[in-house]
Amino acid sequence: MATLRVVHYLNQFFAGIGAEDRADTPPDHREGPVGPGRLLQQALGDRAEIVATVYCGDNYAGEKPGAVDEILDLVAEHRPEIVIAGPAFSAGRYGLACGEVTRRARERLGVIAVTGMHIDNAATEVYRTRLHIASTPRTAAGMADGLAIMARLALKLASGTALGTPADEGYVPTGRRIFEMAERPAPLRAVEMLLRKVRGEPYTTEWPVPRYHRVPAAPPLQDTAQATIALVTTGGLVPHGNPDRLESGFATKWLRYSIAGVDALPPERWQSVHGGFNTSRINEDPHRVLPLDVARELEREGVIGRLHPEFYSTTGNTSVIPTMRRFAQEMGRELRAAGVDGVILTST
Amino acid sequence: MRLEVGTIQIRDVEIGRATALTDHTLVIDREELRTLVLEDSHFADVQVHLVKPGESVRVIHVLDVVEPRWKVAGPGGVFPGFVSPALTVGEGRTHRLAGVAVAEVGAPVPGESTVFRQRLIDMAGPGAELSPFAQTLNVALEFTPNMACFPPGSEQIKDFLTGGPESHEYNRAVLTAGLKVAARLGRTAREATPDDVETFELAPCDPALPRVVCLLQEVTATPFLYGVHVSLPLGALLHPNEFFDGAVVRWNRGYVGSTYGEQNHPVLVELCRRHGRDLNFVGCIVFGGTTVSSAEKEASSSAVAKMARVLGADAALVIGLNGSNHAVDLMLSIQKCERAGIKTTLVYNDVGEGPDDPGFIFAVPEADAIVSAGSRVQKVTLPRMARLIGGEHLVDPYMDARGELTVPMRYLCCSVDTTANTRQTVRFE
Repeated sequence: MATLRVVHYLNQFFAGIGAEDRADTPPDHREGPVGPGRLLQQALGDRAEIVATVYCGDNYAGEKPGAVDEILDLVAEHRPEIVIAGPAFSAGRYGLACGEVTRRARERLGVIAVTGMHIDNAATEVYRTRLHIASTPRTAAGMADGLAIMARLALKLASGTALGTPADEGYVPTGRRIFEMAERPAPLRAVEMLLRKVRGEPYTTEWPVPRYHRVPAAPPLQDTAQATIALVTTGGLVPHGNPDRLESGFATKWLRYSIAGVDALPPERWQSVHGGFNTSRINEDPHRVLPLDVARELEREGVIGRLHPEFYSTTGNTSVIPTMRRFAQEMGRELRAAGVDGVILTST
Repeated sequence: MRLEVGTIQIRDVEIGRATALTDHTLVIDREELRTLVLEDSHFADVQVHLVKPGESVRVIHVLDVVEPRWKVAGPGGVFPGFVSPALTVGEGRTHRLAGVAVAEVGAPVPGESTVFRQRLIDMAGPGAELSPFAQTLNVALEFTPNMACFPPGSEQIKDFLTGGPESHEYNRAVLTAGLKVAARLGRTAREATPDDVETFELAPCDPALPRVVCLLQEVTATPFLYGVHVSLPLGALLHPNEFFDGAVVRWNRGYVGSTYGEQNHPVLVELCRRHGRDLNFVGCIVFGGTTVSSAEKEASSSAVAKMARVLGADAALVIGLNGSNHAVDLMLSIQKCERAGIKTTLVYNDVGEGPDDPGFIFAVPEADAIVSAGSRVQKVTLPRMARLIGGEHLVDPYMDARGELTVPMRYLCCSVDTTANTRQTVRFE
C-alpha cells in the first residue's frame, strides 16, 4: 500500500511561533512535521507521512475574513489524502479553527479529515455531527493519547473499514444512526444487561443518554413597573387557518404576530396547532395558552410597564433540542434589540 | 399462581362447514364468525379474510391483533372483562392456537382520531421480514360500521387523541368482536392435546437471587385491564400470568403493540423462564397515562418506585414509551428507582431523526443501561402487493396503498413496539 500523504494543522502556539501575543500570525507552512507533529508521525507509523504542517494564529483564523480559504490553499498545495488538525484540547478558538479547517478540507478537497479536542470544547457541539473528532483529555498533558486516537481514526477512515462505537474508537459521538439487526432479540439483551448491572458486573448501554446544557436563570427584574414584557409561547398559537404553516410537531420555525392595540384573542381568529395534547380548551379560549387578557390588565394597572407589541410562537412538541436552542437565541436577540426586559414564556 | 400454557401448533387454516380443530389444521365456518360479530348492532357487515405467510397481500387499517386462546381449567376465562367475567385470571390451564392471529381491520369512522392510527401488514417482501404478523396465519375481520351509530355531529373530533364518544364506543365494539372471535377459535382447542406445555409459576425460590420487577409504561391510550379503561398514573400490580390469559387488552393505537403481544409478551416470558435460576421475578407494574403537571409526574414516578420497593425489588426491567411528555414520567421513575437502590435497565424505541436529535425528549443520567429495540421513525419502502385488504389508501397523511409505499417503521404492525419482540436495533456512530 502506498504511503498516505498527511497535512497537519496547528495554531501558532503548537507550531512554536509564540503564545497569545502571536495569535495574529497569518497562515504559513513548513515541510514535514512540526512540534506535536513528530509524535503524530510516530502514531501514524509507516502507513502515512506528514508531508507538511500548516499553521495559523488563532485570532487570525477566527476573525480575519477568508482566513480559512488561505489555510486551505496552503493545505491543497501539498496534495494531501488526509488532513489532521490539532488536537485543540479545551481551547475554544483553536477548537473552532480545527473544526472549520477539517470540515472545509473534507468538503473542498474531498480528503479524510480528523481533528481532536476535549468533549467540553464548545467546538464539539458545532462540528460533532459533521466530523470525526477524537475525544482528548482537557490539556496538552494528554497530547500523546489524543494524537494516538486521531492517528488511528484517520487510518481507519482512510482504509474504508467501518468504525466501531464512539466509546471503543475514542471519538465524540457523531449522532449518526446505523439501523441493524442485533444477534439476539431485545428481551434477551435487556434481561442480561439487568442481571449484569444488579450483580455489579460491567455493562454497556446500547444508547447513551444526552448531556443537557443547563441554562442559568436570568436575575429577577428590579422593577416590573418600568419593564417591557413580551409574551412567548411554545403552545403552537397561530392565526386561524395557520397561514404561515407552523408545524404541529418537529417545528422548523418560529413566528411573530402583532398584538399592538389588541386586548383579546378571540377563538375565531386564533388557534393552537400543537400536536401533542388536546387543544380543544385552548381553541375555546386562546388566552389559556397566551395570557394577553391578563397581561393587558397588568399593563393598565401599572404592574408592568409596557407589553411588547408582538408575541412569539412556535410548537414545543417532539422538538429537536439544538433547533429549539437556536429558536431561543434568535428570539432572544430580537427581543433584546427591541428593548424587552422580560418574557412570560407559556409552555404546554 | 400456576398457569400451564398448552401450545397447539397450527399448520393451516381453511374455510369449512364447521369451526373445528382437525389435527393441526383450523377449520373456520365463515358464516358462524359473521353471525357472532353481527350480534352487535354497531356493525352492518363483516368480511372474514384468510391471509397467509408469503402471499402477496397488504392488509391496511389494522387495529388490534389477538391470538386465539381458551381457558380449559382454572378460574375465569380468557379476555376477562370482555368475553369472560372480570375475575382474576392466570391460574389453571390455557390452550393457545400458535401461529394463528385474529386481526381487526377497518377504516376510521366519523369522529375518530386518526393520530398514530395507521398500521399495516405485508405478507410478503421486505415488510414481511419485519412484522411478526407476516409469519402468522391471519384471520382478518374487515368491519363495516352501522352508520346509524353515527348521528349528525358525531363526526366532530372533540379530542384529537380519543376522538368523539361515538367513535370510541364503536372501536370498543371492534375490540370486543375481535376478542370474541379469538375466544371462539381458541375454544376449538379445549380438548386438544397440546404439542407443548409450559408452566408459568413464580414459585418461592433461592432468596439470594436478585428480586426483579418489570415496569411497563403506558401512554394516554392505556390498555384495558379486565375491561376497565382508565389512566394509571399511580400504577397497577399484575402477575405475568394475567397477561398470558388476556387480562391486558390493547386500545388499538399506533406503536403501543397488540393484545397478541401482551399474550405472548417476550420480556415477561423471558423473566418467567429465568425465575428461580438467575433471578426472582416478583411481578409487573403497569403505569402511565395522562399526567399534565409536574406534580402529577412526581406523583406518578414516586408511586412506581414505591411499588417496586414494596415488592422488595433489587432490580427493575423497564419498558418505556419514548416521545412526548410521558418520557418525563418514565425517566423520573427510573431516577427514583435508582435512588432507592433499585438497578434499572430500560428497553426503548428510538423516535429521533437526524444527527442533532439524540432521540430523547428527556433523560436522566441514571438511565445508563438502555437496550435499543429499533426505531419507530426509520423509513421502510414496501413494494406493491397483488391484493389489498382494508381499503385503498392510508389516512393522516393520505397515501395510496395500492403501489409502492415508503412509511415509518411504526406503520408496520408491531414491527417496533413495547413488547420489544425484535432484533431491530439502532447503533449510534
